[in-house]
Amino acid sequence: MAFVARKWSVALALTMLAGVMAACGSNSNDGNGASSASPSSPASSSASSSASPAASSSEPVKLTIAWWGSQERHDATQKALEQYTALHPNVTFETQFSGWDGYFDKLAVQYSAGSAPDIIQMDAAYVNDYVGRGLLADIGSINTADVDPSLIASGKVNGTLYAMPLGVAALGMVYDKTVVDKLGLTPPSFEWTWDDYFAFGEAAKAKLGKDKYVFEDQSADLVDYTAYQYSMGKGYIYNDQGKLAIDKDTWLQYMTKMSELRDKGILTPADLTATDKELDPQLDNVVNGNAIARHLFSNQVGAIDALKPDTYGYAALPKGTEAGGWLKPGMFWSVNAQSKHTEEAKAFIDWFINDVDAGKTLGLTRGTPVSSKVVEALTPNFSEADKTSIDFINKVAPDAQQFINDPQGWGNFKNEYKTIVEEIQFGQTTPEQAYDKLMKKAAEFEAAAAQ
Amino acid sequence: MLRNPFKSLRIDFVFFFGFAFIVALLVGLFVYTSYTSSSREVASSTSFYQQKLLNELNKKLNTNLVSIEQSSITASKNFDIVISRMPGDDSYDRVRAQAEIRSQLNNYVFGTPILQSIHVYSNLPASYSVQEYVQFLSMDQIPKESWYPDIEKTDYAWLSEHSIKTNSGDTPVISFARKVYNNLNQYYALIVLNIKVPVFQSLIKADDTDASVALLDETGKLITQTSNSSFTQAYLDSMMAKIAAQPSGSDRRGDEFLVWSKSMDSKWTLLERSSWKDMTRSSMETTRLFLLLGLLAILMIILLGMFLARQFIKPIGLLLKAMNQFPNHKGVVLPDDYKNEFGRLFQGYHKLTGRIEELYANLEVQYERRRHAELKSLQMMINPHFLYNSLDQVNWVAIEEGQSRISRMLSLLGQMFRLALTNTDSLVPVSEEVAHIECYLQFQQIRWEDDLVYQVDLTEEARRLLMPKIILQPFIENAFVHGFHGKRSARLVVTIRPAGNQLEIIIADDGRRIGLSHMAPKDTKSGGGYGLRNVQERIDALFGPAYGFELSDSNMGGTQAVIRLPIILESPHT
Repeated sequence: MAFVARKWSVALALTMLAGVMAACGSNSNDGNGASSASPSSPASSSASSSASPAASSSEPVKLTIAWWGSQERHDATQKALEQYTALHPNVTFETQFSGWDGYFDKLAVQYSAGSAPDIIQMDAAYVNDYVGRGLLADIGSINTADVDPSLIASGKVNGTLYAMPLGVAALGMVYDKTVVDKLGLTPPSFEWTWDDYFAFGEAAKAKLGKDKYVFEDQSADLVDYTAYQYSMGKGYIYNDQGKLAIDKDTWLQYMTKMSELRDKGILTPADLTATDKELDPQLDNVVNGNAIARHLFSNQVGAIDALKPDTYGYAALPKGTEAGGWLKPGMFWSVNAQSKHTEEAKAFIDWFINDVDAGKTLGLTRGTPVSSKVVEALTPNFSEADKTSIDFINKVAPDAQQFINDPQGWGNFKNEYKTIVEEIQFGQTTPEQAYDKLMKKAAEFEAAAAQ
Repeated sequence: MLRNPFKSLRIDFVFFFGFAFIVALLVGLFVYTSYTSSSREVASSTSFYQQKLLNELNKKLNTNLVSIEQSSITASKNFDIVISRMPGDDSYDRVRAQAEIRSQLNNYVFGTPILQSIHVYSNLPASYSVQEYVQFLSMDQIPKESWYPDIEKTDYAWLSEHSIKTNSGDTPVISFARKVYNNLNQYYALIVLNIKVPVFQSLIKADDTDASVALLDETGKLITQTSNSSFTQAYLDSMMAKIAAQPSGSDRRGDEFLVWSKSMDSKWTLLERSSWKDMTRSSMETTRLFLLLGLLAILMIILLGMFLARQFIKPIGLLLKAMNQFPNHKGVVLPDDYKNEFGRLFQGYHKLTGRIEELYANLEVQYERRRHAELKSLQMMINPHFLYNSLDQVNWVAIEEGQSRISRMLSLLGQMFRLALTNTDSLVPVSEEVAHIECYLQFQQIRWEDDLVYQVDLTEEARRLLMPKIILQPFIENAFVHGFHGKRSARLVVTIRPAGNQLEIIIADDGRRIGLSHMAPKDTKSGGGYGLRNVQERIDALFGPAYGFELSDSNMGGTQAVIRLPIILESPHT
């Protein structure tokens, strides 16, 4: 089980996206293609709900469901749950929702206490870990006729479906368009390079002054370095054997550059970085105006737009020799293997991904819906934010990097990574020392994963 | 004065209402006692079980809350350890310390399902994100919190319901706050463990009731309650005395039934209020059923009473009707199929009316007879008058014809009639009676001329006495008719004198002796026989058997009659 890289190529992703988002037009030059392409044929919701597995007895069932996300996602999901209860009065939900931070810590504690939720929002980084420990139920019986098989494959481990992908998202960047326009800067684009990135930083900092910063310092997030290594043509940070494959020079180069930007006040200073909470109305450094730009997934467009409507512009991660961003299935629904209500849970997930009404309620809060039918039905009613989000994906998609689930045993590595990089941020250590520490930590993980 | 209803009111009325009253009284009494006893039963058993339940809840609650309190101790110790290890002069230390504290406290939240979040008031950088489980706030914030007075003077306290911001919006929580002290015994942080109110309430909520439960801490402060603001602090303060006096008890105020339990080994008091109406619903239903049955019974009894009254009263009514129509009751026939008291009553009534009818008939006969007699007597009175008047006319004719002897006789006869006709049946003076017999004697004198010698000896004393009239004339007539019949001469002596206490009248003649045998036959109507018997009867009727007359031979050779009468003095006014 050590090797769990998904055979999920960019090509496949593109095929999928082309199929899913024909309406939006993969040719982004054709701006109005979205509305002209597919005359909406809103699939009847009854048709899709009748496809649910016949697990619906009238016995009262209370399903516990947990997810992380932004307030926008919380609201949409709770509304969808109410909708489901209205359709199935015997099924009620107990919800547990929070931000990303601490989500998997809590889940770990709950599993050890035997009180984990029935339905769990799962992240690609943890799928292999949880399946490896036998904590997730086989959900292969769910109807996935309208979902691209290659996308489904991202939720499979050894051919068995354990995690139902819920949406496709692209990694890119968000910037405060109002500030960029006001300062008269060249806005970041989907085509920009690292040089553009550094130049933008310098130019913006010069105009912003002392207490404002250009980029939220996300160098402690493994995602950022992953994108950097990709963009430098050094490939994925894990190799085929499921081992860490960080290129030392590239990493040191990146960390040194970041320290330099930090010193110049282009990146947020360490103590400000420490208080940053992504998409928190007060604590997100881009939202609260401390910085201009940060990385963002396309499925967060709606959330950040909701916080400050019509404020933000979007860009790809900077390119080096290659593109840095990638497409990923934003998140999954998994069913707790310990649950007493796996059938009901599966019926709910079936409804969640296939029902048009559910799709309308949820919108793009978890990325572009995976059911082509749902996308078709939704397309005519896309909001501006939705369209932006779709546009975001389409622009990142053409040269997006391959997305690979974290290998088993490495789910928590990103937390250790963060701690080590934070030391650099606070000037407690040099990049070289940090690299050694990182390698030591990696060896521990590797040894543990090998057992 | 209240009159005896059995004597004054109509029988059917008394019968029916008496019946109905007694039944209603019984039913009412039954319903009342069954209601009071069953509701008392309900109250005592409810109180007992609720107290038991509350005690159980109290224990369960205490277990949970004690674990929270203990967690807070560990959390505050760990907090102090982390802070003293990383005093926080440099910012990285502070970030690391905060991260470590967050991760530790996260684990408390994750591992204790009833915890919603933990708030840390300290000098660490403030960071409040609703997406997080652990929030850092500044120490300066504490005095601004609504619960500040609760913690101000104590090291730890339960904070009653207040609101915090979460990713579900403003969420009501109940919290346990504990101050963190360092080695120098300085208070420098406050850890607040938040429990969601619904979770907390589920701890104090009995599973199967919708009664509202309130939780008070040891000072009587209302921590929370399961129903919206049904208990107020003021209300609870008024209960405190009772709760203090009795750790477990119950009380009823109108519709409210309160049960409380203050556990010995914890500081919590649970107070449960339920609706008395709801509790006693079943016994109320029973009561209502009884009441309904009672009313039904009353109705049945009313009908039965009406029926019985009718049946019993009917013969009385018939009797009354018959009595009312009595004189002409021929139309009303009393039924003859009653064999009981009513039958006897009817028979008695029949007998009574029969007797009365008989009497009426008799009376009618008697009346008829009397009328007849009166008529006869009137007729009899007409005859003497007619004779007297006729005699007078004959007298006149005799005078015209020159027949002076006949005239004289008619005149005497007229005088006798006159005497006889006046004062009929009454007593007359002896002199008048004597005048009467003298008339008769003079009448006979005219016929007998000198052959008749008579003498009337009347004492002056006797003259004034009274006697029945026409007593003497029949004796004298008898003497002439029988004694002197066929004789040429006659002598008659009448002696009237008082003898002792009697008036003695002796009429003696010298005619033939009549003898007693001659007097005996009383049946004869001829002559003196009828007259004497009449005299005897009249004397008997007037004076009784002590008086009368007797006939005997006279010393003059003939017959003598001795008549004895009582001495009756002339009344002064006569």
